[in-house]
Amino acid sequence: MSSTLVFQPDDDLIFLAQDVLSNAGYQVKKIPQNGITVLLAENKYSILGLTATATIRDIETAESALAGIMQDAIRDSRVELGPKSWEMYLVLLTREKLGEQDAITRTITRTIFEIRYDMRQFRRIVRVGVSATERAVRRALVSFLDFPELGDRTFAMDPLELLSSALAEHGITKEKADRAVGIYRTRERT
Amino acid sequence: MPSDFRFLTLEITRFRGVRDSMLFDLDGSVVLLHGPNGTGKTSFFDALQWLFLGSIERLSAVRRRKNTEHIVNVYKSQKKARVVADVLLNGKRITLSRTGNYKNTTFEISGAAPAKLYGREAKEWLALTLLPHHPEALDKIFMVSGLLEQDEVRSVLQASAKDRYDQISILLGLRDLQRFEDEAREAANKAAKYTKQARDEFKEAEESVEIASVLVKKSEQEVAQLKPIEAYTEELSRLIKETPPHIQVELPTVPDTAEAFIFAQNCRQLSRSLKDGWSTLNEVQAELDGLDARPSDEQTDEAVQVLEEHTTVVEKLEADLGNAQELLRSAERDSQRVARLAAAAIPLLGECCPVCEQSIDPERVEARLHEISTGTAELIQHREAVNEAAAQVKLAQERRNESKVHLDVVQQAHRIWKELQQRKSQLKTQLSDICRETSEPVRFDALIPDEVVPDEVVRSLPSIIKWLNRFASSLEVYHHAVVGLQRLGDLERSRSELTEKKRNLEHIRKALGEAEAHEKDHKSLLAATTEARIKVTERLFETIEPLVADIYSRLDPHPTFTDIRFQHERYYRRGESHAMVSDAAAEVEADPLVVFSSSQANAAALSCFLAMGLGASGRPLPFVMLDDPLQAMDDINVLGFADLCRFLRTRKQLIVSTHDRRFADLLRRKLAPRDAEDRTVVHEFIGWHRQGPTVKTAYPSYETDIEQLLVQLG
Repeated sequence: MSSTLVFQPDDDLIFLAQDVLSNAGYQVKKIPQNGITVLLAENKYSILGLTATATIRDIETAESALAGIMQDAIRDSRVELGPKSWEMYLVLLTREKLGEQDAITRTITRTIFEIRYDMRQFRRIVRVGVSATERAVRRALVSFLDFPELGDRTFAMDPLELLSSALAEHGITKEKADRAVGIYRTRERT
Repeated sequence: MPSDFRFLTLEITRFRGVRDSMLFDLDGSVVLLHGPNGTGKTSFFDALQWLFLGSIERLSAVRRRKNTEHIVNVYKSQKKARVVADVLLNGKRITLSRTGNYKNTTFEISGAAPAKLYGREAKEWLALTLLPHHPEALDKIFMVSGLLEQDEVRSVLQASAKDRYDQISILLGLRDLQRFEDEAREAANKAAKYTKQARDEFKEAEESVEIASVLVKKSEQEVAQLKPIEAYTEELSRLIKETPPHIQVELPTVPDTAEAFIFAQNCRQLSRSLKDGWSTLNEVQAELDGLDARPSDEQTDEAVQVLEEHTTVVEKLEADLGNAQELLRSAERDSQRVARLAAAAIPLLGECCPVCEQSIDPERVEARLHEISTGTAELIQHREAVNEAAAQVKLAQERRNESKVHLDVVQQAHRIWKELQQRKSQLKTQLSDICRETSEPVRFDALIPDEVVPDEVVRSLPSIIKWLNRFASSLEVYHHAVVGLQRLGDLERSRSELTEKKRNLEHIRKALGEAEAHEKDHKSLLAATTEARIKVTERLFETIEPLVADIYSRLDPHPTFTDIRFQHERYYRRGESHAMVSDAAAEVEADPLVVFSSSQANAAALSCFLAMGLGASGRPLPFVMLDDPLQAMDDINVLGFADLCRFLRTRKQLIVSTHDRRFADLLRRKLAPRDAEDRTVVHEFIGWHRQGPTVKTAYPSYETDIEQLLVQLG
């Protein structure tokens, strides 16, 4: 057991992250250990350990603890990781934003930079300034999520259909708008 | 990956860096090409670009001369290059091929239809299949969202704001909206033009009805004022009965209309001629009357005789004067001889008088002698006689002149009188001719040929002229009345025409109403289209932004500038799009090309490119080709890109190349298939010789990865 380090977790972010990852098809396991809460999530591509800290200063501590917990978990699981052995991530989130460029911030920035570029065994992803909203957490975990569902997005719609609806909002009856668009389509086809 | 399209194989022959022929297996959701620079990877992407577009834009721009062959392999430049791709389309195997050189190419598709498709038909089929909503934009969309060429990553950001706006507009299908609006405008303009024409036509018809109404009304008034025809014939008969002496009238009881009109004109003409002749005759007579008395020949003879008498007197007196003058000249000559004799005696005198002994002055004596000799009584008498004769001559001459003037006056008066008489005679002859040569219906009593019109006829002329005028007026009135009565039929026709014109006017009024309503509809549609298009454009532009931001987050290129968005500015139908990155915490926005390092800028550009490919309206291109997009990217960016590719392959067939072996290994591991239906193809470009690249193909799986790793670990 290597995680003896303690930091103040952000349970709200962890809760939201659990929700987002579950909805994205990950199997998520919440591990409370020595006052630290981490998530272990896995799908067919990757395995990731995630935690959230109350402050940026705790990131470094949390990274060490999370790495230890992940190593323990992998070791204890005794399962064949297969190609996932190349797809293991440590994800560290915090709501706190990076402040002005004072000496402390510079130190923290350097630390975060070093963590991100530490490629040993895991890829480390650090997200600061993550609001406690589903949208912000989705954004922070975007690397693990599919693209926005294109079929439901406006950009996947036919612009002429959108135009027809918008015409109705500008005083043209639906029937007339559809007829005008229909005539245009017919002409374009021919 | 879309189930309806996938590249299966690509065969490249005599094309660019391939001298002979190479066949690539592309049957995978991911095709990874890797190998050192200069081993032929870019030729592979060029082949795909040429196959689709028939040209290679990048090379067309840089070749030195227009006719430089840049398509066919340099060792086989006399032959034609050929690129053939087998694709799976809706479960059907289709073959696309292009053969040719820089100048001419032939595009073919087989398997799509019972017969092969060629050239434009084949290209249109392909475009319609890949981009059913805007097939005409295939070339553009291929270059802005299908193929990202080597070293062109940042061109996505470096493109002008206007070009970028256009690219996004095309991808989002906004051209349709522009075209729709253009057509709506054209239709509105046509409707306005048609309404204007209808309005002009209506105005014209309205004026036509108005004119016809006025004409009908006027005709009705004229007809209403007409009396029965008998009233006019009675008036004519009455006038005929009152015909003045010396003339006769011959007129039918009911004259013909045209005849009446001509008769009226004849009467007017005769009246004018008679009046002119009669007036002139009166003037001549007045002049004759103005003369004091008629100058007679006796008066002239008498004046001639007086003149001759006076002339004789003058001649006699002039002769007397000549005689007197001769006498005077003779006396003077005598006197001068005496004076010269006395002067000759002066020198005989001494200096003193012998009588009184006074001194003698010869000059004075000579002057005195001269004075005495020219002043004698005889001389004086002759001179007086001459003067008297001269005075009588002068007086006689004056009398002769007076008689001469008198003779002139008498002769002048006589001449004038004679001329006036002659003029009077001519006028009477003219009048006689007029009276003799009258036209119907009036004629004068018969005149003997060469006989001048009698004075009693002349005296009757004023009453004749007056009657002629009255008769002409009556004939004219009769003519108008008959014509007016004939117009009754015309009036009926005019009324029918007016009714027809009014009906036509109503028809046009209705058409105008419809045209105005039509125009109003079109204008409303145009106004609404303009507003709606802006709204839809904004909405569509807004929707692409989260996708760009999503992909940008995955690549995670910058520690503080964590957001990217397009800043769109629209000016009616033109627009500009600027890519902007932002640090939300510090509330700072910047142009990534300005503030980012090369790798960061590449990552931002790649985000935009991929987002545009994914965000295309309708069905986007079913593949994305990236030729070495990872240049200058650091490890974090590459890892992010690899994660991104994992999701990208589920949307499109991904064909990607890299020259970096470490990144290639990373991609190979990350993109190894995880499902039975997944397939990843890796073409390793080992080297290049004249015949072309040396390629080793592999199909990675977990096992091979481990084996390879163990080999690497030694």
